[in-house]
Amino acid sequence: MTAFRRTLAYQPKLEWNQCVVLKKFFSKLTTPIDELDAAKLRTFCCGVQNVTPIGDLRAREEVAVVGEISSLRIVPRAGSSWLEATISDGSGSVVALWTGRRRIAGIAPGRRLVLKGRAAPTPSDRRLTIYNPAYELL
Amino acid sequence: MASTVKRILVGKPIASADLEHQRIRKLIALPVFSSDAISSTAYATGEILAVTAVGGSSLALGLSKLVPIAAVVAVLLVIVVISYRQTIFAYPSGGGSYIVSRENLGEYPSILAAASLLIDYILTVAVSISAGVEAIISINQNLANERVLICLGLIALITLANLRGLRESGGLFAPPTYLYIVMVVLLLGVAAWKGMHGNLGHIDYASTAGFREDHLEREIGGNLTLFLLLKGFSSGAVALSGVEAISNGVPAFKKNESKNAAATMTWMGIILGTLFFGTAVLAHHVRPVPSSTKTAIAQMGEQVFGRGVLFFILQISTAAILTLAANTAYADFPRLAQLIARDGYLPRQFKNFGDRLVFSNGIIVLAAASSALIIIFGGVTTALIPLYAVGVFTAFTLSQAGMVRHHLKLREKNWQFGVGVNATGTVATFGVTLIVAISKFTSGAWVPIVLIPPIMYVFIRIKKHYTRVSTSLAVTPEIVRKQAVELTTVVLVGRIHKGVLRAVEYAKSLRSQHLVALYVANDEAAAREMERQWEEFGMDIPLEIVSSPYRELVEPVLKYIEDLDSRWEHDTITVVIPEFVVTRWYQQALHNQTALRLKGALLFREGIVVTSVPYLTDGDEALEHAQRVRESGMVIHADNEAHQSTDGHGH
Repeated sequence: MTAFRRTLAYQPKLEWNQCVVLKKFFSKLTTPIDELDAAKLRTFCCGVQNVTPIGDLRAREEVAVVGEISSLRIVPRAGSSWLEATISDGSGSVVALWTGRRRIAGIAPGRRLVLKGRAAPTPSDRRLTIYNPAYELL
Repeated sequence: MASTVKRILVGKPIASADLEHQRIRKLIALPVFSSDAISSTAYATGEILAVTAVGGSSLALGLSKLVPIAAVVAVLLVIVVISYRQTIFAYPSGGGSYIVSRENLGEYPSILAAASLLIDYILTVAVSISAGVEAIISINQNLANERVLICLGLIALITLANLRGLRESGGLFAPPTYLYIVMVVLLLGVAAWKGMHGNLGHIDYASTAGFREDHLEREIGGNLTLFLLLKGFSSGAVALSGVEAISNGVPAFKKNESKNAAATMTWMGIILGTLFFGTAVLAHHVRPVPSSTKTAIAQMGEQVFGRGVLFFILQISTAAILTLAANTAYADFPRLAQLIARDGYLPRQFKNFGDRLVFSNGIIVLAAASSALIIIFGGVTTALIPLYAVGVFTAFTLSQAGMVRHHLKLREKNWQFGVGVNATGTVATFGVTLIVAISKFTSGAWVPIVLIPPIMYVFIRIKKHYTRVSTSLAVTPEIVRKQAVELTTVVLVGRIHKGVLRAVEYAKSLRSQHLVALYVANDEAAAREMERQWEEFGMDIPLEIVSSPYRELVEPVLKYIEDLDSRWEHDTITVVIPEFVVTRWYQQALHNQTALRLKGALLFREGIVVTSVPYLTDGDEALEHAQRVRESGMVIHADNEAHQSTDGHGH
């Protein structure tokens, strides 16, 4: 409800360049339960040693990150196939991509894990991708 | 279902082309436009007496002041009628107080007039209906206990008739109005004849319940206080309510409109004045006792005619003209609300014709407000009267002041005369406004005085909102420039069924840059199963699976979309929801309303489009389909049925 009230707040003189600001404003838009969950996740991730917060990742660096699988992507392709998961730790999200695999036991939405690998820019969007990371389920 | 009920009650829709613009003759226009004004003679006399005779003084004292008060009201009537004749000539397209003050006095006076008039119309309904019911109760006092119920029933009836599109048709208005006029003239005539022959007696007070003999016996030595006199005058002044109706309806007259309308105005003034003054003089002689169960007119009618046929006709025609008076407010209130809405001070809904070519929303608001007043004041006319005159005279004053400005601005032929007439009108009606507001403040006039400022404030806020919205939406050539928009489409799927397939096909046809199906899994088993099916059915778009820690659909979807939104700049996300639509409304209850909740949650977000792809199904057909599926061995796994909450996302 608070989320609604916040979005209902009227924005006068809306122009296009302000839309981006507005989007950022909307990105904060979560219900208290969500915020609570995010805080829980952050606390959990901070407890893991020797990892980089996802928000601080830079391309072409060997890294270890910890996070929760927020979504799992199944890409049906004849022939080759891969498994793609979005991992978030509260500071940002990164894509983990395993090629040649349709399914990996334990990789499911909601699971927490540590990933090790090299981050690379994703061609289609602003996130980074770690190809074939080594992983350890927590 | 709901539409069937509406069809039965309201009737079938009328096309815009059928809107008639009929013009009416003076003989018909008189009852149509003046039933409101003339009907007030049915209670005005009684209301003066109710104040002067019962309000702490004696009947004899009250009676002696009745005729002078009536005379002053009559003079006021003459002033107002002459003033409004000016308005009729100046505004042949119809010049209510709102229009005149808006054009000549500016924003605030015009919305003051608007607020006053809206309250005035609500009170017209409440007062007329309660007075009409009192006229019926006067025949049989046993009905008094059901007063509020009868009032509400009558309001419901009029509301329904108006929602059906009851026009101010002359055929409906003329008979009761003329019958009432004839009956009151007859009453006065017979009384005069009897009086001349010396057999017009007083009412026997002992027979009237609730009236104490000592009221009469008290010596006539004392005098009414000025305050009480003014209070009595204020009650009498309500006789003028509705006088302005003709000036609103000038376009309805035959050519030459203004001349005909002005003539009708004069006739109305003469009839109203005669009836009002006549009943006051008669009351002076017959001495009715103010009572809420037997109106002054009824008491006089019984005294003069005897309890016979004529008495009944008098009462019935009184009730009829009062009902019609309430009905005129049903035409005026929505019409004014429409004008105000057109200027942006009221929600736009008031601007729209309903499907019977009437302003349905205005009618419903009026019915609700007047019913509330009836309930609060127990349907007693005397209790409602003090609220009434403030709005009426505020509107009069503003209209007259507007006319003064009009004359000064345009300086047409004989403008000096016009200024004189309308200035007199302004001073007189303003004076009355003050008298009413002060003398009746404690007994009820405070209600409109307190209500009007908030209403004006709301008007201004609404106007501000509309202005702001239209400024923010306004397009200038600089803004119109090519804006590269990337499209992302998300199809929500719960399990794979026909509706989902249709939605996926639709989503693919959008040819967006990014296309993805979204599944919300309650647990890992569900996620696995969905994954398996996605491959089994050979779905050719990527599927994203998110988990729902609280076994709930809306929040994970919102979270995912937020995340998606942050991946690209300047993108528009289209959320495609397969919506399972059942053909019978009662079947709707069997499916949970997730689609609706999602739509509600996404509605307030910029750059997100929600599309629902309906999948119509008939219960029987679905069963047959299930049968076929089972027989063909193409089993959709039964465990999916267990996930009711995510079932199809749109169920």
